[in-house]
Amino acid sequence: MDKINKKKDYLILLAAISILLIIWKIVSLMIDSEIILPSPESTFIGIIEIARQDDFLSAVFHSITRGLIGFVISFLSGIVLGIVSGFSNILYKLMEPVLVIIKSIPLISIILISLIWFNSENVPIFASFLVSFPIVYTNITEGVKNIDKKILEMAKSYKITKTRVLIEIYIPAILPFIIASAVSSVGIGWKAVIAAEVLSNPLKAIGTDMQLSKIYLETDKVLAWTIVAILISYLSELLIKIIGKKIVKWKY
Amino acid sequence: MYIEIKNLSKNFKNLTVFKDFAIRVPENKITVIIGESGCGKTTLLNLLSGIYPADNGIFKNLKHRSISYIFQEPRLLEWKTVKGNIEFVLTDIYSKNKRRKITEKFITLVGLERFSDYYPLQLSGGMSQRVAVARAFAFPSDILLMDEPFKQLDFKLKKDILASFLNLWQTDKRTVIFVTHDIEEAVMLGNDIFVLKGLPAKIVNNFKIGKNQFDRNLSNGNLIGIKNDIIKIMNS
Repeated sequence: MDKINKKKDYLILLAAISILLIIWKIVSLMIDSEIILPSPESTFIGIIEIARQDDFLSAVFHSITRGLIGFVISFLSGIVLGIVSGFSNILYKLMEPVLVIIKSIPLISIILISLIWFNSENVPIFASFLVSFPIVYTNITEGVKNIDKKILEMAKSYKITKTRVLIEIYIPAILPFIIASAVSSVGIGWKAVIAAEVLSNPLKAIGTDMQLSKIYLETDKVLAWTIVAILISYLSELLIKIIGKKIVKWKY
Repeated sequence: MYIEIKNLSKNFKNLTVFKDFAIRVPENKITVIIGESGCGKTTLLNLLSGIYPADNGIFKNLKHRSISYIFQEPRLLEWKTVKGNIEFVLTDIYSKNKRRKITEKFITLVGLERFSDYYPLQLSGGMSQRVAVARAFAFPSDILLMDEPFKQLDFKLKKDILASFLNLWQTDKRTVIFVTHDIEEAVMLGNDIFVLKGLPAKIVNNFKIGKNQFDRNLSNGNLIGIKNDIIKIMNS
């Protein structure tokens, strides 16, 4: 049953992608200008062309590394601060205005300000950190606050030590929240990395190459880089979901 | 020997649940506390187990006694297997080997040996509650608190788990304090039955049943009499 369903899902996905490609092709024929909208096949050739450039892998590698660093920093700080805020109402209240500011500040302001503050390598990291952090932090705080009081009462009546309550109840209880925040922050963080790279132009970066392609009016390559970025984002989300299923195995 | 509570007071904000409350619970017997919901039965167990602190009160023979607790819900850790949930309460008490043996023994006693590696979300409500019963007996307690543990189960399951419980208790007669609002349950299980009423809660009557729990039959005249008396008191 499961296998049949999966097959069906893949077919639907395939159909969706084909429809998109067909629409794209028709529109590009109607516009009839490779600069405004390149056809799917020239974009595909564009992907092959950029993939064959010497610095393709190193650009991809450096962009992913920036994304990863931003992700790890926001993740660790979000988990630690989230857990402490879950327990301490004072920190929770102190963090509230900070969070409101971070959440509502336009991404472009973050990038422009960090262009002033940091060197071009670190701008994307800082940008992805600032967009991911609130997601992780909020999820973890909710996780701590939503811990089942009845389970804690049970642990208390059986005289379980505080350390074990933390390790064996709190941590596993917030694990699903940690995974959920990873899934929802990885895509957003990645978008911020690319946007920041376009403006800060680090030496090796997907965003820098995109910006250059735009300057030379190589629209097919802009689209080609976009597709590469989408694939990376999709794959990292998939990876986190697979890891998440392994970690939160009691739910599946 | 008795566990004795005197001068017990407990307030929640403006609500006085206990005021100068006293009760004497015989050891190694099943004591049933029966009353309408909201009359402080669960609060009494939570005070005994230390989940809530009492505002005031003298507890005799309760200090340093270990307690296990079966709640209305199973209260299992979702992320631990059946085995893991039982071992969870034994970790600080036994070595790894002993822990494993005891866990296995009690899983078998409640008839869940095929499910020892299952997670709670894979079990039915009745099975989960049996894990909670096994956990309570595996924990080497002197006192066993039970808060309407069969309330959320259907009739057949209730009978099964009640039988599992009595079997376990027969071989290991701990002091049981059993809270319920089900009169038949009370008459089937209690050596002593206390009827609780009002707020602040007072014991309005108590009954003693000498007969062994296994030989009890609800159609027996004596038990019917007690049952009717309790109904009368609860309705008055």
